[in-house]
Amino acid sequence: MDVTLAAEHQELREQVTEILGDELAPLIRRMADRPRHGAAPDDAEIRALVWQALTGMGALGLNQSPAPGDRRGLRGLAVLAERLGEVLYQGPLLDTVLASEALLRCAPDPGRERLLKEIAEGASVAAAVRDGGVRPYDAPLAAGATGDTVGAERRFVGFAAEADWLLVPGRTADGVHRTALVRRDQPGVHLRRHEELGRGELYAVRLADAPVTFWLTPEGDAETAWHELIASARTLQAAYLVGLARGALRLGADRLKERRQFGGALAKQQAPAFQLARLATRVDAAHLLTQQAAWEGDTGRDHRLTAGQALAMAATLAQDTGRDVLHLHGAHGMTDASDAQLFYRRATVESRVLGSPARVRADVMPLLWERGPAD
Amino acid sequence: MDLAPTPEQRAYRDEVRALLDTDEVRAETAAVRTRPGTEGGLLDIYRRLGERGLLAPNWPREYGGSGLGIAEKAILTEELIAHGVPDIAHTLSVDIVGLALLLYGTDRQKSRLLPPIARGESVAGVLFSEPEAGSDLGALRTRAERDGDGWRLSGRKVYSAKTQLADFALCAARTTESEVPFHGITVFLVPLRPPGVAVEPLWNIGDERFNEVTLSGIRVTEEDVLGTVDDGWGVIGEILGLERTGIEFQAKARRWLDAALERTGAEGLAPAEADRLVALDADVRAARLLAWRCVDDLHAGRSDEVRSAMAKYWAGETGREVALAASGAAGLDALLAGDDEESLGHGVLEAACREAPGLTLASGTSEVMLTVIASAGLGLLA
Repeated sequence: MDVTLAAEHQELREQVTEILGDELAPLIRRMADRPRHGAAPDDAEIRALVWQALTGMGALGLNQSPAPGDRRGLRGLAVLAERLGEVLYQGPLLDTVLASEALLRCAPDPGRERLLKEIAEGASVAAAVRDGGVRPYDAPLAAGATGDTVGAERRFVGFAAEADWLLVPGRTADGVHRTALVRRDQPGVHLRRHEELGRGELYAVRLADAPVTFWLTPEGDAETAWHELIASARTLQAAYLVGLARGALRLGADRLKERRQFGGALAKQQAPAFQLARLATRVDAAHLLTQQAAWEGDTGRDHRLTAGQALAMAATLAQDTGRDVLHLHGAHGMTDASDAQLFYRRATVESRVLGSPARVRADVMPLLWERGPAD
Repeated sequence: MDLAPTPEQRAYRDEVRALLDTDEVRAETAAVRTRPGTEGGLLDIYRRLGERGLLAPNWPREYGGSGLGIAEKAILTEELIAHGVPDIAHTLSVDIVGLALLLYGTDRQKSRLLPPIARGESVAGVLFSEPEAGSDLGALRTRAERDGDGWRLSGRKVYSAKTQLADFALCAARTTESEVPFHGITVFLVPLRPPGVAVEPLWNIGDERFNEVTLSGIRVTEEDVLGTVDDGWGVIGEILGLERTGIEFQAKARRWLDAALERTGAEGLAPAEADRLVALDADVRAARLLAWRCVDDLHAGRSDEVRSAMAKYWAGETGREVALAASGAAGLDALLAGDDEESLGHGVLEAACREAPGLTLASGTSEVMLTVIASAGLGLLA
């Protein structure tokens, strides 16, 4: 039993940390943020740079192994997602790797291979799986009579305006699970940006007889495949939230060291120091449980329970950390200039997009009573 | 990360489980659990494990161990607790005193004291805490006064477990007065049978009694010093740090939670109770990972005080929470003691409620752990 990160994953973490380093982090944090007051920053350049850097390091190919059925990439992706959360990255990277995992579960097909190649070369996908529910594959979806088009409405789709493709899972009126891949720039694709707490890139998407480029048909049982995909999505979202909490924690610790009150640094006071020490322990706990979920997924074990538990734990942690770190910043934390409010707002949104912690726990609850003893 | 056990670890766990699943062991464990408050003597279970070299698996063979690793020691702890075997004598004798002897003992001390422990024939205790020195060990008042080529120890030690059965104990005493509180402390190996040592019970809510041990001028010599005179603080810090993995605390939390899960189904619980159990199960799983991360560190020759503090803090707090939530979910029957004919699982959850408060106190309080995490981990409190 080896709980520590493997050498290859430590190396990956170092690589990602170098690319998304401390100098770039403050800029990345503000990516996709649309302040209520003043002009929105033109961050197209930095967003393009970050995307190029991530695709350049091979992030989109981490789960694309040439060996059939080999999905060893979840642990690596979790390491990547954690760093993305730490710097508050906003973009379609995790959706894109999930889309490629969905494609990898389909039978080999020239269309599938072409799409995988495009993704590996930098094409991005927005997955319509965030709507606060726990079973996005059960959302209504209408396939056109000829099978070439799709109709659906989805809310809270991240980065839809910049993605090349939209991945839309759902269930038809006759109860069949289907998943469409649609080019975002096609007629029949309508987007509306949500005004929401995170002030980020979440869109309402309406597909009205939108042309379907590819219907994803998983090998084997479609519902099982979706359960596993959702488990992977939860694992990566959990990792992102662990990273977010870690970033907020670091911000909080720095603030305590800098801020002087009552004749000394706040860092010397036990109450706030203990508050952060508790959160630091929770960060490590959630990190390890998330890595366990990824390991289970990578080794072909049923990772649904662990992934759900990890997401619920990480989501609660991220919310609590965002809240507490803002508090430790005092009123300054509420100003637009402070990143504390940014962590707080993003944590609140990101912790709910795949379902609230209680809903996720309720979803995996039956699995707890079915579980066998640990090794 | 690879959470699968190695073939050797799996084989060791299977061997321990096979022994602990025998009728004889089950009967002895049940007997202990159905007589709460009547703590027995040395357990035959320990002797059975000792006969096979399983009780101190990571000790060298020459001292009665099996020459295995720290992982096997952790596995043994998990299995003892999972099977309901009282583990405190094992923790004290093997994990703390044994470790101290292996690290700091002379060959003569090790040859004399370790084999009987490994055979399950002897128990060792720890005499650190005093009425005015709990977490703050630098404030201890037990004195070691020079007496020829030795010392005479005088003082009161409290909250020590198993000293009524133990042959000897590690005892911290002040040998030199110093401006620096942690300097001038020496750790002695003190025999507990001779005149000059009085052991009186301090009854408490747990199944294992505490003792108050009064030392009235008992004589010890250089032969009984563990480590270096006046440098006992280093000995204490190192052994408590190395022993602090949280492995036993998470194992207890797991046992208690599983006991509740066995007796309830999701359907029979209020939604809030079921939700709480799913969340606590995640906490216990994380506690196990944090504990095993420390075991990995020790196996690799690393020792990380922040990781140890996190593991202990998390497991202690989680365990305490689990005892109350698990017994709450299982209903009032869960509060029937082991000697009630209608008790659930020999009163496992009733005993859990009594044992749980100690989880955030033993092996360093939660506040001490938070101090370590805040200072050494986050650079605060400086």
